[in-house]
Amino acid sequence: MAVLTPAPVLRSAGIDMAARSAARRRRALEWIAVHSLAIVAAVFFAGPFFFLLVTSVMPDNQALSGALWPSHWQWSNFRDVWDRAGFLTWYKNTLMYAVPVTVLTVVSSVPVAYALAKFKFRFRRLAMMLVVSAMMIPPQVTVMPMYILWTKQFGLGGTLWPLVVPTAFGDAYSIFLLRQFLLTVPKEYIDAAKVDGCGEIRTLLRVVVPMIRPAIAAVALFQFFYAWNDYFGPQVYVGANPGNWTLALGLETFHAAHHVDWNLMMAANLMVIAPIVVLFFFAQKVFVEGVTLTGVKG
Amino acid sequence: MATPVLAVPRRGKRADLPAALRVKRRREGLAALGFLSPWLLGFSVFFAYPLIAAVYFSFYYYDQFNPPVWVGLKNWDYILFNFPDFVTGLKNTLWLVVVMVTLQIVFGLGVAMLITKIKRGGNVFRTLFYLPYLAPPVISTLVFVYLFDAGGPINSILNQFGVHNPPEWFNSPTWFKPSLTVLSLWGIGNTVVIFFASLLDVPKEQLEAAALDGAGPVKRFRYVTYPAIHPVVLFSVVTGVIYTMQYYTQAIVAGEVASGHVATAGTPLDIGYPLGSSLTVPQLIYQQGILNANTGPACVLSILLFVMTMAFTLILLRRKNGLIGDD
Amino acid sequence: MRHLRRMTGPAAAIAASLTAAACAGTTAAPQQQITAVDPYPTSKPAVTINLWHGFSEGSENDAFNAMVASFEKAHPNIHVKVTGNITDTQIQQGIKAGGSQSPDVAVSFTTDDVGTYCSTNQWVNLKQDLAAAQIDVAKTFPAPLIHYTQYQGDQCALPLENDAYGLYYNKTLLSAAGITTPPKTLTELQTDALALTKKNADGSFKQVGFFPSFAYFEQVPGHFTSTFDLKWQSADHKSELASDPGFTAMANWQKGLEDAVLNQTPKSTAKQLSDYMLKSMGAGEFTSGQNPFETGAVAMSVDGEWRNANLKAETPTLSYGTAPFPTQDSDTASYGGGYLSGTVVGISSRSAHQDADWELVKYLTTNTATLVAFANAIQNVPSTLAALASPQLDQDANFQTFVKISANANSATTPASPNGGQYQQTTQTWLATWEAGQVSNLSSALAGLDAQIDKDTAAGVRPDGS
Repeated sequence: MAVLTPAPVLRSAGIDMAARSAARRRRALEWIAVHSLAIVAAVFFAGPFFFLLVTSVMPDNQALSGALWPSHWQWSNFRDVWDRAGFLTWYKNTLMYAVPVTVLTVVSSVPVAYALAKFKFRFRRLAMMLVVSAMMIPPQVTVMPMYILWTKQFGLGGTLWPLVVPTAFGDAYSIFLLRQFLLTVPKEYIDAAKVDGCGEIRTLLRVVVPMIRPAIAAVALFQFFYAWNDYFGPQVYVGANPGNWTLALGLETFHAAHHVDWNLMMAANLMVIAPIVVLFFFAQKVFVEGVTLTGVKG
Repeated sequence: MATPVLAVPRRGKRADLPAALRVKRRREGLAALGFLSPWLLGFSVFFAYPLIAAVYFSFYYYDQFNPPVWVGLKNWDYILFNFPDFVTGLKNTLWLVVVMVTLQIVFGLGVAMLITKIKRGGNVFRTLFYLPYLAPPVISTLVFVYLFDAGGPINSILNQFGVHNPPEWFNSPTWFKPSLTVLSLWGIGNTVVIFFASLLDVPKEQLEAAALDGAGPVKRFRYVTYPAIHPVVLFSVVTGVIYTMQYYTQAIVAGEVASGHVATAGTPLDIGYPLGSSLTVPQLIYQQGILNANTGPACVLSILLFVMTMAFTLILLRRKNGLIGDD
Repeated sequence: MRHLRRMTGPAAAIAASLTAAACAGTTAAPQQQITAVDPYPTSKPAVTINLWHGFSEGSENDAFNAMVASFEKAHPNIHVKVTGNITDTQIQQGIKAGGSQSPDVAVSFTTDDVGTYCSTNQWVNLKQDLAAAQIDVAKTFPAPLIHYTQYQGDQCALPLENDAYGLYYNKTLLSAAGITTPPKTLTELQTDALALTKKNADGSFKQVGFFPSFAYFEQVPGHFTSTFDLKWQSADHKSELASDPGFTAMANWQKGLEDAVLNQTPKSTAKQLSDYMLKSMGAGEFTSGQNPFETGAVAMSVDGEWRNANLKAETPTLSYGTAPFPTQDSDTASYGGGYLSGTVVGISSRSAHQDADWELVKYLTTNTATLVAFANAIQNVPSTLAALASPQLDQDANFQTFVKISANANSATTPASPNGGQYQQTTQTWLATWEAGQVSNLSSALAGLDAQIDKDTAAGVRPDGS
């Protein structure tokens, strides 16, 4: 071997240099291409935010005039929006929808997911099929009879109860996610707990739940955002009752009912989206973990 | 997957199980029932009941005020054969499912692959690309309708670049759905993050080996990358299709705002503006059932939407048992 | 049809005068106030009733609340809980849901829905109450107003202020083009519109004389009912657009006007006109100072009498005039009429206090002084013959145009239909395809439109044919 190395080394050194500089050139071009595309993508994703910010401080009548930059920065727009609209009410209603939904979903979905992941019983496959099919059904399929039931039988039309109560019985998507994650929890931990004398519920609470905290956090976050962003549900049930409007309904109304120009409309949008962005930056880790969970484990 | 020695026998063939296991099974079965009962109750009340009730109501005339009146197949005949909006809604939904979902997957994957190639600051880009996904649909729709308004920023910028006759975007029957697609691509962050995570799991050694064997980027993608991320892509396709079958908020809000017809949250007017190009079946259900109190026709539409959704998902999932399989 | 009115500017003074006027008015205008039976005398126990209305904000709300306050002063045992900014869907949902959250009395802008309210019995038939109160509707209200508040003999609503539609024209722009009087016929309208249209060299628009489109704000097909003598439906509520020469005339008029505007040198494309219209409409119909008429983007347009209030408050320096909308060339004798619609008020059939409700409705719809003061405040046309003739009514020339239109025998309204205004909506959607040039054979397309409207109506109403 030692005898052969000198010649190939010398020869490959020559080829290597040429190959290396070609590779360097290729890598440089690739770097430029990748980063140019990244800049273009960044412009695409950030652009609307930029216009949202910039338009929200424009003076009246400037928004659609073709000018891309405010002639002067009218910070009073935010005060104006707050005074005009029922923002406080909308925030309150949205929280009163999103928070109970999140808590109820987590509390009710974890046991179901646990049973589906860890227990072996005859109807397990059927139950999973029911969960999956419940995930697939658009809300518009079930809305009509539910709407009639809630408004006529229970007299809860105009309130958010019809949207909150069902989550006390488990949410199919959350169950599915939690179940997928639970499948990765090794059975030994559970068996160990059982050996120590824990009943099913104890096992669940003391042993399993702490192990699936990331999944629970992710599910909670997704459910919170689903409720926060929900438009169809509130439109159907509280569209008739402005006192119970959520932010989604209030914002859509804002442009029309208050006859405001787009600058105030953008200011209103900003006031709703800002807390979400802030929350995201604090909970970034949970978000990304949760998203990875949903996509990759599914 | 390796089957353990004590394999779960086929249903019904329990006789050959040892007694202790049978007892354990039954106990587990009862415990499972206990844990599942709230959800089973919820499923019956919030899914099974409405589906059955929708079938029931579809045979009645019911204005939600006076008692229902039996009309037999009249509502079915109306929706299926005498209601052009239904056909329009179907066509639009089909367009959205085929075009929008495909573009979402392709674009999402492209952006994810792009980020994997950025060594420094990749996280910053990932965060930036994810942010639009957090915007509530109503807000992102309002922002985009503003941006694409006839006098709005996009047209102003296009004007600077010499494009003086831009399409009418959300006011044009031809361009409404493409504009909605651009809006949906803006919110692609979630898909990007999912794809990004799964791309990281692609075995690097295989990629390197393929490169050494002389495979170009396309071949490498086809034979190494794609098989590795295939389950994730399929999952995204399925969720994309489910989401698109329910497509409602963006279409209805954009149509309403772009049409200039003054309306408040309770009464969207001119659903399907412009010229029916934004009409989707979920919007029709809302219009017929909630706005016009035509309960019967609305329930017919609900059932048809259900059938369509089930058909799509069965087609997509017929070969993938892993979704509900036991691991 | 649907119009949210908005007023900026001080109406508080006017609103304050409402209370004074109302108190003075109850004794000063005897002809409506003779009540043989007092539905809810002050001797009866105190009761609270829910009143829902559609006025959205600011001074309109204040004016309406002042009216209600004057009622409460006269009837201290009836307390009215008022909720504003309510749309028609909300009213229907509220009545259907029942319970304490539902309205007892509803004030609605959607005149078209009277047909639904009557045919489904959601609103009470007021015939008996009117007879007991010795109110003869024919002597109290103008005929078209009675027409749009009842359906097949069921008077389930009464008018509360009236909207009349006519032509608004920009005096400055007209005189700059050498036009001294507003057009009285459609031919004159076309000539003037062309003279008032200014284009750039490439055919794009700088100013339009009159938007030849049914998609422009208040130029919906219903508002041309009196111009083209549109019948809309037969006596048994079958759509009759195909056999109505007026409808064909209207469609062809629009096409002719649009072609003339486009072909005027330099030639323009339909898209350029559409772009200009969309750009002008972009800010919204009611955004202060940005209505195309206010900005001068369009010189003449169809609008309701309530636009006067917006213009006074938002662009006081704009020099404009109002006139009845031009007539067909063959029909000049009918000049002076216009389309009438208006706010309607009714009593929920689920209400537990229908006598107290009627006390309120009677007051709101027949008390001349409050009607006049309210009309002045929100710049609507008052809805009773007595109020129309009142000297206290705003005598501003631009406003009086509409007062006269309301009283004109040629004015007309759209018929009620059991499923509300759906046939109007369907017609407008069809006209959009007509304007887009997608209709090749007009008469067969109209026959198809009639058939579809009838099918939609049949699907939406009780099978026994009510």
